[in-house]
Amino acid sequence: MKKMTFTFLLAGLFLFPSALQAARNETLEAVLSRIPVQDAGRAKPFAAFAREAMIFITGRGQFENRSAAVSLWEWMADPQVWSGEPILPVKHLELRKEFSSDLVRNRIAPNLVLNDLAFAGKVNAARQKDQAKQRLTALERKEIELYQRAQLFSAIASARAPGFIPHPQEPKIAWVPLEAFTSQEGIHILENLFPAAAVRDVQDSLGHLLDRLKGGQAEEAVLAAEGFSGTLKNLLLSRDIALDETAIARELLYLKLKPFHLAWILYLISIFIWLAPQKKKVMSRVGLGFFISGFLIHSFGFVLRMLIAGRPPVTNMYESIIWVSWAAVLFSLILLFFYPSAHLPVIAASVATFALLIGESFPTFLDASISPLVPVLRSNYWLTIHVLTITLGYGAFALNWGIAHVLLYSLAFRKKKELQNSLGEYLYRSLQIGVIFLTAGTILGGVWAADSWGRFWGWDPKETWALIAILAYLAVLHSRTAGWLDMFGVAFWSALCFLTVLMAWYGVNFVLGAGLHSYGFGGGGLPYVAAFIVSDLLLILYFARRFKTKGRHG
Amino acid sequence: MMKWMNQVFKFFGSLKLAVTLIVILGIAFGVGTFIEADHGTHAAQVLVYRTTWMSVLMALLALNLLASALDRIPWKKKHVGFLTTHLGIILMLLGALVTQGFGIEGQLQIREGEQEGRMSLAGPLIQVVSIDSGGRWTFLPEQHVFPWTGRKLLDAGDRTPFRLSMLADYPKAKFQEEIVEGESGSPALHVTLKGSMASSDQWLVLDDASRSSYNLGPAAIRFTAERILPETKKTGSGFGTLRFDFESGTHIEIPLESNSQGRTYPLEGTPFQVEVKQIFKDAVVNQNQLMERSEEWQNPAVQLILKGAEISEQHTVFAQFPDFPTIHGLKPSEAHVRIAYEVPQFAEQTSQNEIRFIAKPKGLPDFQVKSKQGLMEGAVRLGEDVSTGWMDFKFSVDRYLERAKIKTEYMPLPNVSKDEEARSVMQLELETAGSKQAVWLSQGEVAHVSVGGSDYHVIYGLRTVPIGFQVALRDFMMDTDPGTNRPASFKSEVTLQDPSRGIEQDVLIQMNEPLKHKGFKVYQSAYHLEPGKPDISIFTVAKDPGNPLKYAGAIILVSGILMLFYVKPFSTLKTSDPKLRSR
Repeated sequence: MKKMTFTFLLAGLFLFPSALQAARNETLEAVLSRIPVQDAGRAKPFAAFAREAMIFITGRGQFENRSAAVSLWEWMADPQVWSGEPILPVKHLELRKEFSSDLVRNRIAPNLVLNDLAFAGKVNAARQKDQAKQRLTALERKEIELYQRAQLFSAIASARAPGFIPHPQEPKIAWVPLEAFTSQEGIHILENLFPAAAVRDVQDSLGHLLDRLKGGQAEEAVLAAEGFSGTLKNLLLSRDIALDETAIARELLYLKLKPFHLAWILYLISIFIWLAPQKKKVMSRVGLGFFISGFLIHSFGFVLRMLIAGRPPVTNMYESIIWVSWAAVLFSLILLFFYPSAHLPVIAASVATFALLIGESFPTFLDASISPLVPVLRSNYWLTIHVLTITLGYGAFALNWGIAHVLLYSLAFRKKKELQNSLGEYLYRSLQIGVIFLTAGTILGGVWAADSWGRFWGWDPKETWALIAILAYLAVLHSRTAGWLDMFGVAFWSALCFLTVLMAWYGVNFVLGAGLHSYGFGGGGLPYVAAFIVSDLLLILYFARRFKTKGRHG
Repeated sequence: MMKWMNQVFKFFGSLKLAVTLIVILGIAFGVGTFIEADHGTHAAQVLVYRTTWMSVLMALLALNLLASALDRIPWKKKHVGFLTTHLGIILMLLGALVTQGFGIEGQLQIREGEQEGRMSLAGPLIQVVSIDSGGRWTFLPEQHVFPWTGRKLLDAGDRTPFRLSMLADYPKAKFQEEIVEGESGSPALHVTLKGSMASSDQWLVLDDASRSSYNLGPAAIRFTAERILPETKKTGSGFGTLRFDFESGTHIEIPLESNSQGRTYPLEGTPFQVEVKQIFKDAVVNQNQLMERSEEWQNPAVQLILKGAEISEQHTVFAQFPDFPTIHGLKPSEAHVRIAYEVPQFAEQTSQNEIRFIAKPKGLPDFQVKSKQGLMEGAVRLGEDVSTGWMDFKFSVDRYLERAKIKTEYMPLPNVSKDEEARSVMQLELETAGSKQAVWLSQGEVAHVSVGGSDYHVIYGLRTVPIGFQVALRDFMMDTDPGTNRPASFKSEVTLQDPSRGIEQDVLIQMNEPLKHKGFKVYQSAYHLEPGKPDISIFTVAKDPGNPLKYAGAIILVSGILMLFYVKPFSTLKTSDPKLRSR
């Protein structure tokens, strides 16, 4: 039996060919991806920069079925042509009107944006307003954003970003971009820093590579790319600049493996296996195998990300979604130890799949890039303890939310009594876990605040909403103890209480936008979250209505 | 009677009260966070978190926890979890009470190289100082949450020879100037300048030192009575003109000719004369000497000596580089004069872009636009766009007032405004028998008021208290992430001085690493950097004697919850309550 599980575990891993294909033969993408660059305050493989830039510029991870790394190099090879291609998305309706005649499939070419003097004037006015800290309209924000997209495109196409060559003596200053090779002064600067011969080698190989890319000779471009990457490495070696290659390789592995993508696929497979009609014991184990391998990949991705960032990855919305879904699975596994049943993992797998899917579906406002921390968070010890504990609480409540829905469903549709009873038990247990972690995490936040800011509690919106969430679940717990709520009542109110968690988790940053925890702020997603909340409320109310009229227990 | 008492006790210890309180508190806190987002932290504190009713609710909660614990006497083993949990919460509430009573938080702003021993608190402080007697009175009004106008007599707690009333109190406001038509005054016009790179609009007031002109990028916009004189071809020789602009206002021009070399010219209206030593057509510096390189007019320059009034200065003036210092070694001229050398072919470099409006005795002014293309002029017509010839800039005048009056007032802003010019302002009125005067003051400002023959200074500041030690800022440092301008960390090197304990030591304060002394925590909270000025580091100073109680309460609370949930013998909770089961 054990052997079987293991086989499926392996099978799960082999489902994803992209990770393996790269190892077999060198593609242009692979060679270009590996080159280390500096961007947004840290060194990273070119692939990471390319992905982030691509998402920012085009709103997608790749454009026209080319990998981001190759696309960026093609832009560099032929900036004139590409700056005339419609690649910048224009989503805002009023903004579309401004460019109506220039749009192709609601996209616009960068040079049309950059050369439009009237538009530049508007962007300038909006920026001045922003600098004066006045509130911008949605249109003004979108105008600035579109301009920034165009500017980033032009920076990449003209090789002004990212930085490729570190300063031999001053590792902290900005790396020199490839633009340096296009002018006499640039080459002069490089020749002051590096041996002239090595500089010339890079210049030649770069020219060669750009020619090949321009000519569309993909086959030969691979060789040229290898040449460029080799001469660049030699250039750095000539001054003994050693970049942390394992770090680059680690990040490449992370980008290639897409552990969180893989995790939700495995979770989803386990759900299908468990929900399949045949009730063979073997299949249940197989399902568990997929579920656990999903969890392992999820954990592995987490560790990788932590090693890359040099800190626990829980500092923005994207990372917290990853962590909360992981926590939900973790708690389901712990509960599974006490209550062996397939229901718990199915619910946990559904919650985790849903959360991870959301995490990767909105790359523009759930920023998946790994960026340095804002100063206030640079205290790894407390950050780890406080934030991880709080979000473990969110995870338990996410699981609780899932269980509450299934329980409401089974009550409304008169499912088996045993099922309802065991779901009621899980509901209560997950609620307990959530209360403990959220309480402890909030208190630890107070301890951190007292230690570094001199006060334990300051009515900051984030801490206040964490307290409100605790109070909400406490009200449910006490009402349950008092016997005012029956099984349906506990499920109904627990499901609603998750709204307070959503408010503490998402709403404080995105809706209220105030307070000390403002580092996680960013716009966007509100319509989606509102739609989610409304449809969830409707679903809960539907269950309640059906339960009151036709339901009750089996 | 006993029965009645018992019922009251039961009510205070009831689960019903507990759940009601939990729900009310939750809703109140939620409302508080929305008030904070819309109206700022101070509003949320004053309206929700620090109100009497909030204290009453908290006291009720504590009473409820206590009564429910007492209700279970005699306590049994199974009550341990429940009792521990509730004790933890009570301790934390007590801690909050101690904080409310004895905790303090303020700000310490220190400039590099200076020291500070007092922290400023959030509340306003008004001081009135009598200039004649030196008397000083202090008022401590409460700051209003929202912009307020009205009349409130302030009390200094002692007798004052005047009455001080508050007429307006805006937590955040911005100074605004409005130009309106008046009975008398100078003409004014409102000009808008539009271009793709920048745009501006501004009132120009004739004969007003600060409002008659302004600069936008490389251009000047002026409203005067004098026209720009067309550049007359000065002498046909092409040797150009020397121009002397004295600070006294005297302008003198001396046309040069081929035979000017070696001649001395008087500078009329001044005690000076000028000797033209040499005129260069194409000057180059060679071995620290100015030499003629060729006979072509490539880099015209004049060497001259300014004599008279006991000075004798050698100046070198380049036509192409009017901004170069003309005396060797960057010394300013003792004659207080700027000297320029204008050669027609090189005049372009020295001319500046300018829009000039020229006032006429009657009617709308004329305009002149000076650009590289030359001088253009016309009569101003309201609302008409005129191209300037510099890039794509156009200007238009949309309003013109014959007699303009400048009206200034403070406009209240929302509490959450992030406007950089926003500040707290108050309008105060000082009154003595028979005479009164009102003044607007922004925080940190002093106003001079004279009523009933006495002079006073009125100061609007913040309350300050001594912290019992001194903090001197030696250096403020900001690190950035590699290759970006993004701050990675803020650090302040300070010296802690506490003579009472004989302490003088250097401490590094940074994010999450505060200075701890005498129960205070001094942590880095903000900074203010301005080029050319010493850095200012801003610290928040806080003391919270309630912390030990809160920590103890927290540990007891969490262990109580754990016992309740997971240690059966100490718990009254039944995991599978028969009432909750499906039947």
